Amino acid sequence: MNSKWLLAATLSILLFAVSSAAVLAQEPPPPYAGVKNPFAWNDAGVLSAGKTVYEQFCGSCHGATGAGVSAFDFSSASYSKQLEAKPDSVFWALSEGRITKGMPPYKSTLSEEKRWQVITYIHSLGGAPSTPGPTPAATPPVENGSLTLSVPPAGQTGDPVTFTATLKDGQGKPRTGEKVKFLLLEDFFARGLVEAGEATTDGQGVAALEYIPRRPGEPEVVAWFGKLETRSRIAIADSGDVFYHTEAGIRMPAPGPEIWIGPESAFDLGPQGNAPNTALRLPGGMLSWLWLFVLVLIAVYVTYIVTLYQVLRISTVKGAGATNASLVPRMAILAMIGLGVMVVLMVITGPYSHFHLG
Amino acid sequence: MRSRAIESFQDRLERVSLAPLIHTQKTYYLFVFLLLATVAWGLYAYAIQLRYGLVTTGLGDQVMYGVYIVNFVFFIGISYAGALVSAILRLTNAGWRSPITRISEIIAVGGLTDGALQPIIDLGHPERAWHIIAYGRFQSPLLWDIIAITTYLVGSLLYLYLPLIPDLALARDRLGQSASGFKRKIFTVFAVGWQDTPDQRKRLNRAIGIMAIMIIPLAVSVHTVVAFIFSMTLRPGWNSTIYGVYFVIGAVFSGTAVLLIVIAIFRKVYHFEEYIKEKHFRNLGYMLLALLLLYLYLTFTEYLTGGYKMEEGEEQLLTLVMLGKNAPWFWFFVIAGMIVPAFLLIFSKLKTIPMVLIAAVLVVLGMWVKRYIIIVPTLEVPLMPFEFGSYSPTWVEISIGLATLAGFSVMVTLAAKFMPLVSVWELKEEAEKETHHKEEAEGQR
Repeated sequence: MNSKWLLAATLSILLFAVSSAAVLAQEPPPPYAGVKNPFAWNDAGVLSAGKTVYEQFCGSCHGATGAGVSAFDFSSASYSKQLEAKPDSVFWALSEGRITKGMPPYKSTLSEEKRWQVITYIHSLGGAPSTPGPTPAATPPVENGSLTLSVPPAGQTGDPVTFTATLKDGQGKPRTGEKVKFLLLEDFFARGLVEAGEATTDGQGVAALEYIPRRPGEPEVVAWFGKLETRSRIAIADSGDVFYHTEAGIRMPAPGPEIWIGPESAFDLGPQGNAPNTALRLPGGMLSWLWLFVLVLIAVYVTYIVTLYQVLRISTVKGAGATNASLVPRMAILAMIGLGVMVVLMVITGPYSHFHLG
Repeated sequence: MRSRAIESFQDRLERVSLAPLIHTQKTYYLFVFLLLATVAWGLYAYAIQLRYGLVTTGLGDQVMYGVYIVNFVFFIGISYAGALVSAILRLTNAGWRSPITRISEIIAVGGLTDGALQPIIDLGHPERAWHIIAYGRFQSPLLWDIIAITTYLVGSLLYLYLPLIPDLALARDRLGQSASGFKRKIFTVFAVGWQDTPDQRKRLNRAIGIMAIMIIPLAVSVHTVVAFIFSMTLRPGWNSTIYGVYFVIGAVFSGTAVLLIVIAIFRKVYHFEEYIKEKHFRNLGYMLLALLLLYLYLTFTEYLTGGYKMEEGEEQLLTLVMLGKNAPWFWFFVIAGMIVPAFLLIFSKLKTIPMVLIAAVLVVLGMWVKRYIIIVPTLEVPLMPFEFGSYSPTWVEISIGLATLAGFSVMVTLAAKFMPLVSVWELKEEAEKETHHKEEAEGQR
């Protein structure tokens, strides 16, 4: 019995080692190939900064000890060794993500510095002895520059707000043509930075981003440029509008003004977020492409009715004088009209929040 | 002499085709009782599912389609027998169709009713099926499905009913007191005063002509839309452009096989040997073979296009299907559902009826399994690394699945008691045409 367990354990350890080695053995592409950790593996400041990042971004999947994903067990000494041998692979994986394995890319959420901090921390999880690293090589693109962020104090969901960031270099001169990243610190399942967008600085060094807030709350807005980072807060009120819009296909030009027939209440969600009332809406107006489908359906049901009309005429022919002879075709025609109307209504009506016809 | 021979053919036709409506054997009751008992057991299982929810099934967050949706696709597919076999043969005026059109239309209605119930059974809250009518939005393939299936079901009922009118009138006139009062009433009301006048005939033929054309695009649209439920997603295996065609061909294929089985049973039980001849099995067998090759080709195309590009999910799917835990199902489909029937059909001249029938049974089983292969393994492919789904049906699902099959059989079996199973008036027309030809030929001589 014991030997069996031992065998199983040995095998699984081997398997882990092989699979993590296989993953690490993949060569990273050019921007990442051969990059080195700018920090020392045992730099206490870096480790504590990395720990914060790790807890915020990585811990929910990888676990507090790093053993959450068995194929990438950070708490194993072998992983740390691999990491030390090939830090560029891990940096690559962290930056670009491993989408197919469920790992999102972090290059837009975490600055290069933060990514190295967290890698340094991950290295420490395995408890491997450290070798002193090279001195930091990365230089920020703007030496001693300044980044100021200006955010309106309040907004509401659905209404666009503008974030502006001003970038100046060490001499106080505005920097032109640089990309500034804007992020929001949001609570959405986990607390983390969500990218709002990117903007390029103009002649005055000002980058402006128009953003439509979708969730009420008081998120922190963060602007990034290289190592520079500033934060500000915005209060977003709930306007109560439904502005969840996803569409299939391309947006076709609407040939006419929208037609809307229905109660006011159809704009609002029901109690407890239930679907609102049904209403009729033709976004493309009277020339909506939806009519094509409606016409086909009407054609089908009219054909049914024409067919049943033939049956009705069979029953009313002279000499067919049985009692109730035309009962069946009459009822069937009525049922067919009812069904046809229902089907057409199903196509052209729906709750407002569910309309996403382009 | 000759005219007396026709008389006796027609008399015998009426006697044989109307006999099931008035004479019922003990074994029939036993058979119906067994089927109803199975349905009752299924209803009990469904009550359990309603009481405790879908947790009594093998369905979960990852694999949310199981036996129910497999049966949905399967039974909707079977309904094709009616639509395409009967409508295409009618439009092309294939004389040999007359004895089998009625049965195929009954299968169509039975299969559709049964299939359309499945998605409702699949709901934990069946009363919320109403929501798709009240709150459905046009972008949802499920809404398309409801519309297409409803429309097609209505069309199939109409298409079953129209050619039935003269035969119901025949039952009304010939059976008299030997049928129960309830049945007499049904025959009278549904025969809508048919007296076989030229005007009535003209109108009926016009109505049937319209419906025969109408039912084909409807049938095609229904199974295309059923395929859309899957192919409108980005799932590996489902993310395919051939799915519409693939499902349509698969449906005609399995529908023809079911039709073969059902006509063989009715032929044996109700002594239709004079009307449903070896020719029918041979012709339908050739149709089945052609459809089999087409389906095999589409299956090959499906796996080739996926496997050649080999996206990550696709690779997992193919491994799961061809080598993994679904491999027995897949290889059963390939060998028992495709290759063996193909050989049986190719060499069916040796012993037509048994060989075609065995092939048909294998095809039906294989096609059920193929639907399982289409639906379940795809859902077992994880979208996220921690979402491994796995599925095996529970007793509740198996019971309801068997009850579904029993329900279909009950519908087809009971139909035999309310309508002549062969189209008597069309057979008479054919017979008249034949003698007319013979007379002409002899006159010329």
